[in-house]
Amino acid sequence: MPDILTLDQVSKQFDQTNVINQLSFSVREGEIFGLLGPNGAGKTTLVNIMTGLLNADQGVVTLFEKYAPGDNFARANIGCASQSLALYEDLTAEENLQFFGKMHALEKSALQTAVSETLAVVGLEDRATQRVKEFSGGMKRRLNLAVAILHKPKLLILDEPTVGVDPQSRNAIMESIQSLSDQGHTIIYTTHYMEEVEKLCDRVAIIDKGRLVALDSVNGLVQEYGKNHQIRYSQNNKVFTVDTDNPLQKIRELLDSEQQSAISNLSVQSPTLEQVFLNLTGHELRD
Amino acid sequence: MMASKLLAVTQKDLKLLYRDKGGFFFTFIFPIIMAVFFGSMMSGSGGMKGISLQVVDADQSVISQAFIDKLDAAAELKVVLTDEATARDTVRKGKAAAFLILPKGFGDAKGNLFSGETATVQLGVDPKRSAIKGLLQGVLMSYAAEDMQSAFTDTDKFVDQIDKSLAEVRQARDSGEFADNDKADRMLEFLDQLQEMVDTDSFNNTSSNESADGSTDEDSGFNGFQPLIIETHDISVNRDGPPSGYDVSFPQGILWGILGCLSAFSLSLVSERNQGTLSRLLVSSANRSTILAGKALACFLTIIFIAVCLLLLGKLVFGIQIRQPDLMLLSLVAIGFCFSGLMILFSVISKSEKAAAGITWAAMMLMAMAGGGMIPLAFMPAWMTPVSQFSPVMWSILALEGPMWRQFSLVEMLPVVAVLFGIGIAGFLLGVRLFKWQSSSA
Repeated sequence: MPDILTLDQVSKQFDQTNVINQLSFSVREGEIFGLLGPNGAGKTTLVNIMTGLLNADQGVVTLFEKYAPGDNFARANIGCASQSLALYEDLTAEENLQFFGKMHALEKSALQTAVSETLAVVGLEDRATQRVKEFSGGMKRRLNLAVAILHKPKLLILDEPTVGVDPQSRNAIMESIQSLSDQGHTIIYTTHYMEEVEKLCDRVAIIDKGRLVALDSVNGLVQEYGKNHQIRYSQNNKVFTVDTDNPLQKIRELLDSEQQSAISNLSVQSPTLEQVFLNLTGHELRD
Repeated sequence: MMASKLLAVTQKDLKLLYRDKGGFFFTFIFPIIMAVFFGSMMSGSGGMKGISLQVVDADQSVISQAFIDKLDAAAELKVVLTDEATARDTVRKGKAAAFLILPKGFGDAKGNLFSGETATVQLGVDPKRSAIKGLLQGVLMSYAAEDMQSAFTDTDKFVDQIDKSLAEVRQARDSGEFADNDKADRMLEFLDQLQEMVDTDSFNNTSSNESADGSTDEDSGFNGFQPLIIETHDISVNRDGPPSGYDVSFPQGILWGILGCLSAFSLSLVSERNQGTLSRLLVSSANRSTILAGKALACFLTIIFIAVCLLLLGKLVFGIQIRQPDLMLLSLVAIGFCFSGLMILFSVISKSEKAAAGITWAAMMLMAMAGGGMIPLAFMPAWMTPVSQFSPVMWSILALEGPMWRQFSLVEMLPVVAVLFGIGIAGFLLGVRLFKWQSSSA
């Protein structure tokens, strides 16, 4: 698969603070690429650099193998759902889509088709003529995503698309994203929700304080940086936790011991991204 | 607990306001500027010599020249001596507040206190500055009355006047010019008594307009000591009647509507920036100039709509006259262009909605004040006249009045619309440049 986005030693400063610090990685065509990091890690700044809204102080960003962010081809082939709800509240869902579709130069018939299809993808077809200001937070998020995918971009950048939404809308958004991926879209997905990354992403870049801490698939990260499994059990009404890099061996030892009849509620917790993050950065993701 | 929370909120809001430079400026600094500005205008510290008066001396006598000299020395007036055609044209174009014509015979009439015609002058005032009409009439009357008073207080002059009048009245009676000889006799008797009073040194200053026997001026048949007759003249030519107040107020009303439109559109770009829709637009296939031009066009169309609606309302309901519709169309396009360009500039330089609102309203107020939209230029200090040339409001009002009642020709309209187009182009280009610079330096 060719690289659809490449960052080479990209840095950005604000007020003499390094917000992005010599970041380098590539995103392959067709994958869902997760950017995982706590609030303030530099994810949104990175998104703004990728889309051409911000210029990098140093380094090179290449899109679609030869374009710079902001080039016409790049802009026409990127869809971006920003963290803020970039919608016109006094327009209906359909009018919003029609407007942004026109801004992406969609022709009249193609536009109408795209609007209908996109509303269906995000499950808002029955709300097409309702004004956005009457929408719930989750519905606005879904429409925000709809605007980003309306012109069928090759690269879709989603910046915290599930922030502040109810579980139902969150699931709907996640399903929509999976569906888009199945259709061949390349997706960059920034979040600080571990479970979303684990569920959706093919590869994950962990970012902390503007630096790339690790990059691999979820399993790869867990295997490399997860270290220990966690075994929990109860014995004589007390709960015990044991960390181990060989859980089978440890369970065997417990079950072979003289106290085995007193052991209950035995469970094994595999290493998580949360643990990976903790191991790599020294602090938790939601600190 | 509650008090500490309240104080914390207060402290936070003050911090936010202080850190928002635009908000801080318009909350604290601008009111001071306004106060100083209004203060300097109202106090007259800048000098109230400002009513530009085009004066035509058709009499060319010593008395007319002396009267003009007196007007020229007046603090309220700025006298320019010229010919009648130029005087009328200058006022019609709004470049002078009024004209004054001293007709032939003015000197003779003014030099004759007790017989003959009362001195007459012709005064033409720009209808949009009709507020100064009364002021000018008052000024002219007071100087004419001053002349009369000096004639009474200067004994030699006064004796000469009586002798001259006695001779003229006697001659008129003897030649049968008086229909009623009794009236002529009463007047002669009055003048004789007046002469005696002066001769016996019992003459005191008087401005009584009663004759010795208590009859009124009208009864006695002399000119009633009226210092001056002021005939007011319409400043425009070839028209049925003077413009109504609506012909003057509607262009100003249109301008206020346009300024409101300017404010609303200036805010919209800032709102988009804050909502994130601007970023979304910038990431889309549309470029920055297109986005701004689209906004400018929306503003332009709204301005045209507002102006056309108001003009139609004025015409259909209030009877305002649009004598040159084709030139009015040109004016509206120029005005729309001008304020759309300014809107782009204002919206780009504002960082927050608070700052945008402040900047726009401040600019509107300054433009309206400097352009005569709030206080007639004639009442402003002399230094305001050149300043007003920089106000798009002044040019816009002129552009609207031109095809209405000033009856501008195309040649006369061209400089006005050229200025408006120039302001619009400059505002737009500067706005686009700033917008690109802001984006690239982000």
